[in-house]
Amino acid sequence: MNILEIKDMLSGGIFSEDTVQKIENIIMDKQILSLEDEFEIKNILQSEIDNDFASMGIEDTSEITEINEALDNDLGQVQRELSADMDTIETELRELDTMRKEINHLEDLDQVNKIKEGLTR
Amino acid sequence: MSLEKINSQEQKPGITDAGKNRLDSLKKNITQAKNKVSNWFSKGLSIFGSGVEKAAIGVLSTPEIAKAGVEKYKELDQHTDTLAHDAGESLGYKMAQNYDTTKTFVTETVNAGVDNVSSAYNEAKETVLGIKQDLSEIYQAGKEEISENVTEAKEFVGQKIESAKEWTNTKKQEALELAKNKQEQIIAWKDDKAEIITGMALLAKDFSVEKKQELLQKVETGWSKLAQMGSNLVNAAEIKSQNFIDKARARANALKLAQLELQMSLATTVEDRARQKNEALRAKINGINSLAQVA
Repeated sequence: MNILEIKDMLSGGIFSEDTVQKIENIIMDKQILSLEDEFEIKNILQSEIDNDFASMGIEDTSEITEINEALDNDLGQVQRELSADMDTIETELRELDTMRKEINHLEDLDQVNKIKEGLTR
Repeated sequence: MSLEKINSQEQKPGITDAGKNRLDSLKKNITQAKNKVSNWFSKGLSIFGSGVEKAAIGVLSTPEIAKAGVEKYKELDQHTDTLAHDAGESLGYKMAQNYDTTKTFVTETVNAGVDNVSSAYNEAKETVLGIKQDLSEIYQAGKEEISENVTEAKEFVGQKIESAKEWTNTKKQEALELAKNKQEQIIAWKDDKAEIITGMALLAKDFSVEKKQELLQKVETGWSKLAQMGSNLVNAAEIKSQNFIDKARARANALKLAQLELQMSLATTVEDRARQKNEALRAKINGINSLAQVA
């Protein structure tokens, strides 16, 4: 998805003015879209499509409920995996920081040992 | 139903509540993870300084580089326009002033009836032309310099935008690649970590400042790698989530569209039946009417 593609789509007059305005606010002054921007734009477009279906009496069927449940499971799985990965990295970083402190401490010990050696001579 | 009519209809609240909650929750979790990665980089910066800084700038600020670059360019472009305008106006004013002064001098000389008026006039004329030429060259040189600066600035901004674009694509690619071989990367990190631990044991036995610096460098590199890994994992999770959402939406939209088409075809069938019934009724009425006429 890039800004030109979006502008082309918006200029087609398919979407409501409200939707166009919301998306223009997002892409305004931007050369590149972030993942969050892409996410937001798709949400705005889908929201209008959902409302259109609703206005024509098309409601969620059991099949759509199943799709949504599967989606919740998939997203939940991604989140759980991410959460576990983040915890692992956090633990590793904590250990790394402890190592850094210990390495610095080794220099202090070395200094102390040198002083001790000097005293015993 | 026309698009205008559909678009102007009152939007029904509630139908997307579940979807909205799902997306809000996803956004919240992703934002939390991003903040966490951001904190890792900040902590790395405060502990190690410049080594982590390069990676942090890449991860945290690159999307803003393009925007900042464009703003800077606009500002510079406007500034150079103003400079060019001011320079032109100022030079033009000076030229006019010099020309007027010289012209007045020449006119006065002629009026005084001085014998060498002609040569003085020619001399003055040459001086004026010389001044004009000099000013023109100065103006041209200034203009060229300004133009070079603008071109340079444009190229610079262009490069920034390109590099930011490249960065975004690379980041997406890296994130997805990482999601594929995450285990391998974690194993590689464990090897690095084992090396640091061994280095520490050796340093404890035989301390030297060089070895200490070498080890600290490895710790710093490890920190950057881990924080970068976290950043890639967050991006990968975001892309994977978006892919799941896209697929689910495509399927749900297709189903709803099919449902709508079915509804429309049913409506057409009812309409057809009514028309047939209408025609049959007309025929019957015509029949009875014709019978009445016979009687």
